[in-house]
Amino acid sequence: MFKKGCFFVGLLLCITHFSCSYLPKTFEPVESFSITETQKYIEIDNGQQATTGIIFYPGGLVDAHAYLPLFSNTLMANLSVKSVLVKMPLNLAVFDANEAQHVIETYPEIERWFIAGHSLGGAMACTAVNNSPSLFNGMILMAAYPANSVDLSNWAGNVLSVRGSNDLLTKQKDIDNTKKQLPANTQFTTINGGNHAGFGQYGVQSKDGENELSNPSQIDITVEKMINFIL
Amino acid sequence: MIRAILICMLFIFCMKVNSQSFDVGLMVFPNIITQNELYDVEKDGLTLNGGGLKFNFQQAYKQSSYNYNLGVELSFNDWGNQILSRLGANTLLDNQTGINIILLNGLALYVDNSAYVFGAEASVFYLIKIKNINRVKLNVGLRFTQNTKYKTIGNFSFVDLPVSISWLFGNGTN
Repeated sequence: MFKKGCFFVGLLLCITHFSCSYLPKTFEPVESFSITETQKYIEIDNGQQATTGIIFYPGGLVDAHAYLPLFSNTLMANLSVKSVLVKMPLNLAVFDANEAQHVIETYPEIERWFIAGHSLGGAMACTAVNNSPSLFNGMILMAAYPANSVDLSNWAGNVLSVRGSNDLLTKQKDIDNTKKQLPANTQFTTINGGNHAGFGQYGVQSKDGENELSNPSQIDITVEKMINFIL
Repeated sequence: MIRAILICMLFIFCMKVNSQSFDVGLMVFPNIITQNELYDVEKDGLTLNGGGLKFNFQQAYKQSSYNYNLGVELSFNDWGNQILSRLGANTLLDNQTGINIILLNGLALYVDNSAYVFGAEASVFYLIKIKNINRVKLNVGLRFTQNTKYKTIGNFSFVDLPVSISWLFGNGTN
């Protein structure tokens, strides 16, 4: 019995070691946005009549609140866009990759849906599109690429793939190796000086490269690219 | 306070042990109340807040009708992942059912700055025999947990209705 006990305690401690989430930095809400939170989603509304929606999957072990600065950026204040950040079980999008379908059912007034994701969240966004391609008009990948089992080469939607040049976690060769799994018209773009963690506001990520831009600068550049892609 | 806890533990562990067992279980936490100082969380009925794994070691004593248990759980909920110690006691109401009270203390797991979490859980359990030995334990209860430092700003607390199923190892006492 002692051996079994030690095994289970050891197993729990081992899982614990890999379960630490990245805590969002303190965020000052922008006045023109209202943030509504449920147990499952964070909805960001700019008060405009939204016809386009963005569903966002956070990176692995990153609290969804870390992406509030990305989706309540002043550049998005006058767009007819509603953003929905999905809170993932254990902060791992792999456990709820198809939640986007439920989000779409929750907001029937939205006409065009884009799905976006950072890192692991981006990989799971690809999986969501692979499972229900007709639900989405486009996809935005931030430091992310599809899993081997996903093939979106024949998908009719548009894809934007953004990566920071100093990202040491999602390397350029990973993006290059998976290009054939994405539609031929996918737009690939690099943020010079940006890194992996710079898409959210949660501090320094282990094994990442240095961010030569400030965190808000990388977020602003990402938002600009995102707006140009969506509109 | 610490002295009182130590005296209680000394008293418990000086008693003659009747049996020892441990159990491993899966938990889910349907949520009834959420209170977050930072954001208003809209609720629409009973929602699933999280779940996890638990491990409990238990000692039963000849002099007492209570069994004392010490355990650990790794679980997740709206504020992230957490590891909590579980210190509690239970007693049987009849051969199959009993009540269980547990104090929870531990950490919400964040990379640079883990936060203290405390709570309490009261539950009723039902034991299912397999080949005349109690092997499966079903638990339903009420649980309060509070994270003292979520996002370095405010308190964040939950009242959940935990449901769990456990497998008992050892000599089959509850």
